Amino acid sequence: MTNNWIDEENARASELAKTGTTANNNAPLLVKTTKKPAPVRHIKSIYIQESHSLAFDKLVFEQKIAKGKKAPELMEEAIELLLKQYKAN
Amino acid sequence: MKLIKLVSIWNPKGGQGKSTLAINLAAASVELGLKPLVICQDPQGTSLLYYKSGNLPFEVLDSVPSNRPEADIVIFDHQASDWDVPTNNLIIMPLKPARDQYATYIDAYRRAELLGKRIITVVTDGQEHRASEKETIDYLKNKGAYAIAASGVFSRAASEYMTIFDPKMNKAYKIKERRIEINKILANILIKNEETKNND
Repeated sequence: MTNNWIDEENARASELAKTGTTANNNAPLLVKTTKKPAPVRHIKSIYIQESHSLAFDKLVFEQKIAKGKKAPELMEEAIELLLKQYKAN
Repeated sequence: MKLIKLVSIWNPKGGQGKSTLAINLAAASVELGLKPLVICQDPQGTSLLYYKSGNLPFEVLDSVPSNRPEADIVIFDHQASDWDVPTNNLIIMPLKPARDQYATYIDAYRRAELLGKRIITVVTDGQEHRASEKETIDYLKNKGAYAIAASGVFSRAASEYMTIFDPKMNKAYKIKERRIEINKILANILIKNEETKNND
């Protein structure tokens, strides 16, 4: 003989599974957030005009001010695109 | 490339023994000469706290590594309240044999079942001298579940953040029985190969 409640719970769970909801569907559900890992960084030597270098440094600085220390990922993307464009990779 | 066994320990209900099972299954696999890796997906960081104590003979990571790990078996220790069915094909669902615990377990089980997952049920902390618990344990065992009896060895091991496979536990009361129970679950995980994934 098994507990009578097992059949009741099994039937309830089967009905619930059809709706895709939980026993209390109004309760707040866990929201998962995963931190995006920082991109892998490589050091490459390139030669550019001084004025371009200064402009680039200024852009990075402004991004850091606006978005925090780890902001210049966009700059890295831009450099990667440039390197790809000019086949420097 | 070496195949890695991926196992998720999952049950949205808290306090069912997910972390305890995760670290003890990993310790059991070390005994077999395998290299396990536990990935703690729980903000409570229970398995990570065990690792930080320095008593574990394997690694516990706080998140999924970006590179393929050097491991034979990777055990994901999921957090409570997580209703998303794990993506791994093999799911281990621990539960205690009381009605309110079973209710959440069976709700989650049905979800995983609908997605075609292979599910291993483990009844934890069962006290067979209590008639109602014994009935539930027997019912689940008949359905193919494994059982780990309530035992002081787990709280004793927890008091020092170690597993029950730690040599310090060798003389604990009924340690052999508890280790056999964990080993049986591990054998089931390892013997069936159909869900082994090449995680590249």
